[in-house]
Amino acid sequence: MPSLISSLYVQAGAINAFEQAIAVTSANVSNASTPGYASQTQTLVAMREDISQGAIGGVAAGPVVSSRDQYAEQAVRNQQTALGGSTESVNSLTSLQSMFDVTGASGISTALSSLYQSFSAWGQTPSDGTARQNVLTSAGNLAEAFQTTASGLTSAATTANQQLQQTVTQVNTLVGQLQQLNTLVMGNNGNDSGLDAQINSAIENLSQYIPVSATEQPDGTYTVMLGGETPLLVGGQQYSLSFDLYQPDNSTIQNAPPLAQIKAADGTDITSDITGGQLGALLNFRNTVLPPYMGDGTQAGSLNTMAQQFADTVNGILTSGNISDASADGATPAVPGVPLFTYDTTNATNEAASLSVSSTITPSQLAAIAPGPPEVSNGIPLALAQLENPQSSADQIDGQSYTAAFGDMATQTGNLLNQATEDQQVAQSALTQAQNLRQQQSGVNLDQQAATLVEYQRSYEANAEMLTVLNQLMQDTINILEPGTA
Amino acid sequence: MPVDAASGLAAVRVEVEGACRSLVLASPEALSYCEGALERAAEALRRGRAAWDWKSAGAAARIEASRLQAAIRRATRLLSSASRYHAGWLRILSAMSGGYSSRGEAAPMPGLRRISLEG
Repeated sequence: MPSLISSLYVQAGAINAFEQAIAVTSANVSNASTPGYASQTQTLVAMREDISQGAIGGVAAGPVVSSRDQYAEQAVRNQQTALGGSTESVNSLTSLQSMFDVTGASGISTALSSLYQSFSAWGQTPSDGTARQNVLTSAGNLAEAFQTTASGLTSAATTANQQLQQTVTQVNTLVGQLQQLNTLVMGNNGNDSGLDAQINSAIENLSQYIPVSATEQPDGTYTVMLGGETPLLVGGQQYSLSFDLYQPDNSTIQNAPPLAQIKAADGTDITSDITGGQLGALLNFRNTVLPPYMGDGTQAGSLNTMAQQFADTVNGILTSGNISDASADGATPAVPGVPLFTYDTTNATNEAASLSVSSTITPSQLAAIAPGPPEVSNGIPLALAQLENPQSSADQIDGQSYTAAFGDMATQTGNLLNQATEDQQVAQSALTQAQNLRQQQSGVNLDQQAATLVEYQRSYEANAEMLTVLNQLMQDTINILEPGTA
Repeated sequence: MPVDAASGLAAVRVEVEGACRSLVLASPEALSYCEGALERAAEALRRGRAAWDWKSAGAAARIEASRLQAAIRRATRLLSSASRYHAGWLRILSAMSGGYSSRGEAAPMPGLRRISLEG
């Protein structure tokens, strides 16, 4: 009789264990598509059997084991960071490239070409008022093109600053969510696969913005670091990032556009640590890509240098000429030429944005006469037209024509965009690869889960059948021991 | 009649892109296919350098060469990331099975095909 009762206990314990195993397998199947979910396994523990000591043996449900592997998770996060960075680079550089169009009907390249043509036409008919007016109009169009491009660069910098601020806010928000999840884990003894899935999904989401490393602690909470050094979340404590603008210490240009800076919670500048993710790409665009064009505290920027040198060169040629000759008797002196362009000479980073045609110049004030000797009546427009294919280094910028120099800027942005686009495509593939590798390690394999489910169900049914038999045996035994009741 | 260079390069690119797809899947079967695909691509390129018609190769061949370069760069990156992943795994397994050396590095696994049972 006692062994029959023991057997009943053993079978009941086994049914309970297999029921839990079926529940875990069902949860795996239900969460096969849940972001961040890792398959769970119900362990089964053999119970000690020693009848003399009252240990009846059998099987019991042990702890539920997660297949999550932090190494595979971190590999996915790293690729997520790479994809976030390259995607942001493509977006930023696409907007930049549109400012350096060398094929369209507008922009600096087209305006330069039109101005050279107007110089050439003026050289053929130096006294013609229409040709002179065309020079002023074309010069105005070129100045406007410089202003538009400079304005576009300023706008790109402003947008990047806003995006940086928004990204930092987004990062802090996500870390805040993680901090709340960590708090829940601490109150839940760290044993909730749903919370674990939410945390890992949130960390993966965070990794597209910044390079993060996450470590699971013994209590089930996660410690999240930026670049492996700067703490963002430790247990229930969040460390927020902040965004700021600053002028470099070695700045020499007053009122230059500031650079962007990210600070840790303790105020430390961690800008150089953020080399990946959306935030890293935005910092790179704002602090590394844009300044060579638009300038900062330490450099004027190629667009400003080009505008300033072109204006100075044209003004220099015009002021070296005469509007009219001196009278033959010398009573009336020659009238010297006047500058065509003006710009802000107080701020080297504002030259392109401020480039304009002098408001006081009129067509008749364009000096056409090169005094020589020998004097050439259309020498000045011819010299200006030659700027298109300059022979003298004084008429060149960085050893080439202005058109070629602008083409170089366009080529640089085009190359950067091509590289970023290719990086983005590769990063997308690498992310899928990392996700597949993780899936092999900790994903839910529905075929495998189906086989496991069948196995557990059959075990459950077998134990249930055994229980029925034992129950019947028990009933029969009772009937035998109590004659007359059968 | 020699194959024109553009078609030859395109055929090689198809093999390399197939290898890339396998690398992305990253399953053992897919990686086995990848090895063969890359070997076929390398062999086709080696033979093609001598056999293809390079004299009349024009813009189309240059475009195909550029696409092939991009596909190879992609395959290189995917091979590199897969290699890093598995090398990392090996380090973890080494540390788990053999502990750490006196220099703090994961100890090399003593006989990769050996198993040990405790009971």
